[in-house]
Amino acid sequence: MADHVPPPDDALLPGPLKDFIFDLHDTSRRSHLPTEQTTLYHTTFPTLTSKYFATTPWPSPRSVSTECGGDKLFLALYTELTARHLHTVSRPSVRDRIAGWVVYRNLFDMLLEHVESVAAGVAAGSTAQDNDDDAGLYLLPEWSFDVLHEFVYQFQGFCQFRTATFAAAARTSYSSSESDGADGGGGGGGGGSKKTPSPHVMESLRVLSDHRDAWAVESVLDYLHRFVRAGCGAPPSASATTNSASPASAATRLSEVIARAGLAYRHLGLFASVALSRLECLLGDYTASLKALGPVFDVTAPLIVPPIPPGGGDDPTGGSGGGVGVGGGVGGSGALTPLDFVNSVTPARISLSYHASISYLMLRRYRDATSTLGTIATFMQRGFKTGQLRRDPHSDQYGRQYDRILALLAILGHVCPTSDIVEEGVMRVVRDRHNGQLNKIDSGEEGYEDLFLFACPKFISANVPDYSRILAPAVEGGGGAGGAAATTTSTNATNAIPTGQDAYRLQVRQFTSEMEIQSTLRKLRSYMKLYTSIDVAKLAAFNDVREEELVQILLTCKHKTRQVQRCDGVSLST
Amino acid sequence: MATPSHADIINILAKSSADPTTVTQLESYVRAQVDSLYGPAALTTSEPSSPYNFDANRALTKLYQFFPHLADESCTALILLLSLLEYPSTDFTALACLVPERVQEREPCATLSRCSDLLEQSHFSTFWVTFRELIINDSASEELKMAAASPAAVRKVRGSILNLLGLTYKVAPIGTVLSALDVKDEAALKEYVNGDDIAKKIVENVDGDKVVFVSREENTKKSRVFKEAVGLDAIAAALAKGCHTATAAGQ
Repeated sequence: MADHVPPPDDALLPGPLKDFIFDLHDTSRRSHLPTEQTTLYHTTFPTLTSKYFATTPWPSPRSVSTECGGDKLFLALYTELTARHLHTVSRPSVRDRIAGWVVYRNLFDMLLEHVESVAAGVAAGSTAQDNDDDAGLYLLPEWSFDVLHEFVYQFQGFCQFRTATFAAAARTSYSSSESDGADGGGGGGGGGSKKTPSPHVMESLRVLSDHRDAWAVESVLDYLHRFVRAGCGAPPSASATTNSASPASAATRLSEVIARAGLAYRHLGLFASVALSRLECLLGDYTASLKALGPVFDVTAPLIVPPIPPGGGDDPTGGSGGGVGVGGGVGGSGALTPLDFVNSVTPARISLSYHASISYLMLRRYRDATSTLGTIATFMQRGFKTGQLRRDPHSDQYGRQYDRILALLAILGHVCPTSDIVEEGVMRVVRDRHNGQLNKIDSGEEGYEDLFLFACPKFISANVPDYSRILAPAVEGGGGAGGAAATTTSTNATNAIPTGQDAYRLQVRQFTSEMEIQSTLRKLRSYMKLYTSIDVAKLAAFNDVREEELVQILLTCKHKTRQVQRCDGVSLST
Repeated sequence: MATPSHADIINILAKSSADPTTVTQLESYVRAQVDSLYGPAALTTSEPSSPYNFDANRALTKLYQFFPHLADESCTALILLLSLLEYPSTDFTALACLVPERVQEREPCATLSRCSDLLEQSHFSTFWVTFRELIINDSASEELKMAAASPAAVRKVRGSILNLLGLTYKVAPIGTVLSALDVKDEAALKEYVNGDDIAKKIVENVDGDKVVFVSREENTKKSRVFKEAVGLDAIAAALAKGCHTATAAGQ
């Protein structure tokens, strides 16, 4: 009797699926062919997904490992790609969200360990031959962006879920404590039903409490910063203390690292910069959001050279594909500056512009915000007209993003009118869509807040709540003293009941308080446009205020109209 | 623990973005910045050893946001005070987006927020009254009170307000200037201007009931005149031409 040989793990896989895995692995680890990978990523993967896995997960990494030689790094990328698909077709539970963190942690640990060891080798002067068994990694720019974009998206979703779950549980717990206190008794004896949050909510809280490290904000930020350092070099302030700190030597070192580790790391570095900018904006740190874009706008940074197909000509980097040019300026052979490279991926371009503009708006840099939004709005308007954007895989999101951009331009055009920054075609659309709202504001009604609520991102609170407030057993007080203590505790707790919207409300409050001041200046500006000179008393009368109040308004106008503005050719972050 | 130097802080900020173990060092640096307002270093004219560092203060505020159990509200108040003194920069605005609402609504941060609002709306005389409330605020730490009362803090804000006046006015009534700067009378104003390098560059002279500011682009009437009105004869000529063309077309 023959021994039973278990069938290979991939025995049940469809043939096209096996081919897809094999080819994708080949393009990312060996051949580095962008055109082939583009077809696999943008066409073959969606086709196979809709045909075989429309609402179910893709096969496990173990099932497909024979198609890629058990390459752990590739399998981690495969896991992320397929988990991303599952996230879009199902509503993730708390365990799914935790599992998502594990996927990214595994992938990023592997990627960063690899590139950081290469960087250490370069710094130590080791030669490329020492790493002969390392094939390097190539990922399409779109693929690199999607990984990091989804990472921040899942982090954002996790924070919102965690905050909302805790807030819901806290409201139920504390409102029941209040009613017990009002009854004058301790928890056990008094009247009134004691409410606890639903079992589903309690279970979620327990899972969150057991996995406090999942999606920890310091880890998320650390990963993004490490990708930026690996793919774009360390920031100047950190390297200033080292011996070999000149920009030229830093650029050479970066080129060497990318040539050995793979062009994917350069892509990941630049898109990590965009992702970091977005994350900082969601956290309300607008200064950091703009600073994060430094590598993208670094005019001295090495260019990005697309990979050269095998046998397609001299390879300046000595590898199988392209790499990083040394030196600034726009080069030939399709070499791109970091900004042009980021702009070549439409969702990255839109994300960068949108979050930078929000940051400018909140930091009262209205002209910079207008300029950035005007450029992206023009690009999107043309893209819709020519149909280019509708053919893009992310086209379903572009319409909504365009609407938000127009709403922001409506605010900015009203608060800081400029005639020379935004194309007339775009401003016409802004006026058509938002004239009613803006007329309301002119007549003295509140309107900026509604526009901002529509256009702003979903701000998040990243801190880990104190789960013990809900999960710890309630103290059963007895008698008057216990009841009084329970009442005092519940009162303090009531004062601190999270609403789940705290982060969001804080940013909206900051915005509206600034807009209240801007509203008072608008009427004054309209009169000042009509006159080359006017008596202060007369202007005060037009504005229905006393002369002393008008002086204050004039000073405020002078103060508010002076704003930091970016000079041409200087980084967006300054 | 020894106060970290400015270079130490630069290195901390470059290495780690959200490391809770850096909280103590960053707090120490905040206190050093405040100390430079009223400590022995405030009496010297040399550069302070712990200069104001917005990025360090912002990093600490974010760490408080991420790790609320580490948050020290008295330190938050010191950070807000330091940023308030940087008016008219948007440092306070940027930090206010990171400090939780419940902290901003409690003293002494509530008074600091009111001070910022008053500066933003140019209610300078009310600002000084509110600012001095910090010195007697029960919720304020001794460091905050001393910093708010320090001549260095007053000088910083006064200089910024004077600069705004200098951008807005070429000649201002002395009463407006005295109340905006919280200065008693003409003699005190002259003493302040003569003793302050920044004020000397802004104020040309104090002359009786007027303060004359140094001419700058912002406070000088522009010489170029834009002809905004169109003369009737110009319109009449165009109308006549238009009518003539229409008549010829109709025939």
